Amino acid sequence: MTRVALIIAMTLALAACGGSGHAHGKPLVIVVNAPFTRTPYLGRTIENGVRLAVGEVNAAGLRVGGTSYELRVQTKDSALSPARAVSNVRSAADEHAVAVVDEGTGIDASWRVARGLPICIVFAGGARAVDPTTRPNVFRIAPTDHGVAFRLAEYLIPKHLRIALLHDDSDYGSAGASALAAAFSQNRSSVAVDETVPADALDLGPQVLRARRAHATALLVWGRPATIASAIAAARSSGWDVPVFAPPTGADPFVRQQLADHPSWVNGLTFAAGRLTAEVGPGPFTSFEQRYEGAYGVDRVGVKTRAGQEVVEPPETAMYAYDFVNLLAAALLKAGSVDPGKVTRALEEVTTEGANGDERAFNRSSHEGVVDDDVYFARFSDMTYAPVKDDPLSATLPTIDQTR
Amino acid sequence: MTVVHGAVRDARFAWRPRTTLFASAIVVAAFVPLVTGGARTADLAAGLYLASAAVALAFVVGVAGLPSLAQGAFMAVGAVVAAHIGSTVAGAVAGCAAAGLAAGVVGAAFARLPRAGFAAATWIVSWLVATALQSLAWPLGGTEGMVVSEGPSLTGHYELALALTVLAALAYAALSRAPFGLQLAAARDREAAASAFRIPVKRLRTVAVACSGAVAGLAGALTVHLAGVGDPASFGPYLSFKLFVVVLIGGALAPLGAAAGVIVLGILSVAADAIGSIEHVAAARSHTLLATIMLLGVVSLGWEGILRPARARRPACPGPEPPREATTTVNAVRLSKRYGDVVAADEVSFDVQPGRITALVGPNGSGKTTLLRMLAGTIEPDGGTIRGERSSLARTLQATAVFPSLTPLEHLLAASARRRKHAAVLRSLLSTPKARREDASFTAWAERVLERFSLPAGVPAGELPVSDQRALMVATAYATGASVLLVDEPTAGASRVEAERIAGLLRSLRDEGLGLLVVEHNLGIVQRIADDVVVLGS
Amino acid sequence: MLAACELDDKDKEGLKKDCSAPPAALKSAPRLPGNFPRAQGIVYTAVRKDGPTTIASGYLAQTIGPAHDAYSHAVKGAPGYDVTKEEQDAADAEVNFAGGGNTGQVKLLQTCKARTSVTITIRPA
Repeated sequence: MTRVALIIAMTLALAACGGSGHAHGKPLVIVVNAPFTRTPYLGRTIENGVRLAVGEVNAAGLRVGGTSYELRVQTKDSALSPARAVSNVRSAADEHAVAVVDEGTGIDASWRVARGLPICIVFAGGARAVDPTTRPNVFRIAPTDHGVAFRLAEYLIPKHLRIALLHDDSDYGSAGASALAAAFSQNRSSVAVDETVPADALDLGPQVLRARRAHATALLVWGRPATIASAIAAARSSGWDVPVFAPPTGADPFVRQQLADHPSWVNGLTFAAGRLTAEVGPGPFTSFEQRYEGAYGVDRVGVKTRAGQEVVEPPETAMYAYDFVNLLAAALLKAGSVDPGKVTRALEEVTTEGANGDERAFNRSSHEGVVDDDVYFARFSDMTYAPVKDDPLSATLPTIDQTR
Repeated sequence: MTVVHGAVRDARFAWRPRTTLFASAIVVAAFVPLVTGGARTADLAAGLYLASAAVALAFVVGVAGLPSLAQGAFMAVGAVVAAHIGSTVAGAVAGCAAAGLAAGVVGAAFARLPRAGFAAATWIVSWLVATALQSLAWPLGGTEGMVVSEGPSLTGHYELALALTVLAALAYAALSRAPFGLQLAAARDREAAASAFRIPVKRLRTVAVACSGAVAGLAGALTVHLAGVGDPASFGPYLSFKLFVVVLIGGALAPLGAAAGVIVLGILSVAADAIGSIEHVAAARSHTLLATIMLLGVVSLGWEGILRPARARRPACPGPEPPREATTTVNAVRLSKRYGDVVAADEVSFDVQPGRITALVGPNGSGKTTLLRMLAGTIEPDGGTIRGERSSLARTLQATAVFPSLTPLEHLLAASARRRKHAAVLRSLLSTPKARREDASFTAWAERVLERFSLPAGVPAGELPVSDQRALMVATAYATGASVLLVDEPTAGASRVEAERIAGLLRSLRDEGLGLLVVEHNLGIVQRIADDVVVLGS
Repeated sequence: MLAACELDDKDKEGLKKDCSAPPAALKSAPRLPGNFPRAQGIVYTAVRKDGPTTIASGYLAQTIGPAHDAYSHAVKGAPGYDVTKEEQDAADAEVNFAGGGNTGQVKLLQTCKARTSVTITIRPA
């Protein structure tokens, strides 16, 4: 794999803020295809991550093949609808966008209509979504469901817990269920019960009761934030104090907002997510976070700690979107062209330093930007979370400040 | 060539300036993909598939008078079937058939409900289908959706959608002027009167809903191939709501009204996007908000739609007189009917013979209308028997009950549908040469009958004077071909001149060989026309 | 190559120090899932299962550079295996792979002057 030392990396180190660059050049549009209406927090953070990177690239100037370009951002709401997502990507291709940053809904169909336009998924982790051979224009910078599920299995099975698997019937929940089925397939004795719950159910009392009656000693809830909150509420309100585990959606502010009246119920919730910091330490991520907050303000969770401090959410998904835009800029320079096919191929040949100091790159064999082994675990206490100490990777990671 | 020549001649006869406008618009529309990009072409194709489903719905809503809120569900059925069948053609055919079957079941189940009940029932069907799609993975992949092979190119889909919309509109036009449509319209205006004139209301409505659902299924099947993904969220109750709104906005009584409604909705969606971006409302929500406001406006302002119906001229060509049913004697033997403690009829016996007028007289509440209803088969007697061929009876209602939106000519054509040989739905749809010739022949015959009854052919019946309306009721009963007519108070409220006119008509029908049972309060008229009189006590 | 991260003093000291006695090797070389390739010189010290995942530990008597190269070549040369991502810094490296029906990572950490610890994580694909 050819590595290219890039000006963008130095620009990242020098850039103080992401403000709007006033570069003049031909416009190059990056489309953000996300469910802005259905999951506003997710949509907004993806958009902000893209905009921050776009501002920095424009400030440094982007000259591709002798022509100056200015990156612009256009948002399209997928509303969690695969058909809308497909329509949005088709529009993006029609309007000669240079890339799509996608939440992941409908990717199984939308990649075809992209006409070779590079699409980067920054949230959904489904296994089938990314395949360099059959879907050469699809990339991902986000933890995969496979990685999260298997890391959860590695973490939980040695604890000899009897785990109740609850997943909702959303796109996200169903994909997670498949991943969990594979991860626990060799250790079915660890699974007390495996339940599907409606994604829009307000009360998961019956399902949680069934888990309790199956003598489960832990709950693993894979679903949208509302499902996780409902499951915790159902368990804790009935006095069932088992540990609860979740995928990255466990960290979504909505969970804490829903349980704000019972902050103690959030304590002990452990979720798996992509590491925010790299081996180099928290410095790069902290710098990125400061630039992000400087541009867009803090992402307030809407709850406070016992001491009355405002809790904020670190911009994880924004980081992935930010990293892709920088890879894209590098690929444009490498390709010397804005032709989608050339840019897509160039994306396999460039490397940038990610917002957290980690290397970000794709190659011909892999279009995944986050490896499974970079999934860590964090546990909530007093509305903030910290990496757990009983996992080799997590134990090496620092706690990110989440209060202001 | 004769067939083609005949078709061209008939088309030229029916041609209007408005037809030229629509035809030109369609030709121009066919070239639109040359100037639009892929995404826009896809959006337009999707809009046209929606328009075809809406045109089909307009037939059910406008002609049949059934406010169906399940058209989106039928599109969903078509989409589900097509998503599981790889080939676009096979999927479309199977989807169409499946949706038609589903719609037929819905139509049969709810056809007799009052309008509000029909709307509510079909709305529930929409919700049921939507919930099933979201909850079950196998129809369309649950919330994940299901990838579907794309089939034709985007331009291919566009042209296909345009053709489907045009064909749907042509089918609407053909069926609405055919006996099938006229009978549905009659039932829409007054169901009881339509039943009295032996129009099979439930069967016709079931067929109408089934045909409309089949078109929706075809549109749904093709839509899912266009999108490349089966998305349950695309076939939720809001789709049925949107289809209903565009029908109302565009006009339910014009073949291309619904298509016009889709165009308006599309234009207003652009406005909604603009307003939404100013007010920071997401597009998905601003579109829903706009559609709801439009519907409220349509409903509250009594808006009849952008396109108003235009009556096409009917060619008339004299032909053989349609055969009447064989004469029959009807014997009522000791008929009785009770409603709780009230005895409506108590062992009444009489005959109605061919070529004779039997008058039924008595004070109010003596059971005259009850007896007519028993003879007509509307209610069952509690005692006694009725001998004779009941299917050769036709009855007029006591109240003045014409079909207000239909012309007298259309009344007669609707009532005489059973006497035709080439008026089945498919023949009417295809406007076969035999169907057209028969229609022209019946039109000429109906015009002669109207002349005989001194009625104008082309004025909506609701605009006629009451005396003409009562004469029209008798003419309509006569047009059914029944050999025995049950006429309920034909001169009620009539002046002396009008009553004489009616009396003369009844005598002429008797002289033609029909048997008539006439309920009358006007004893002078009874004296002048009745051959036999049955007197009922209170 | 991208500029390496700055090593802190502790890390720098670690790279210079003499190596203590190596950990005890397994009596026989384990057969890892998917016939995972052996790098030249690897000494396995432990193998365990965490749920579905096999984790093998060992060491190479080499510095980080040659150790990384050894595994990179071993994986690339193994039939059916691909390196999906690899990265090398001053004292550590990762070689992520897919092959043999599995995915995973070889994590290398130079612990002293001439020894690099190896942790191989193998998960079903």
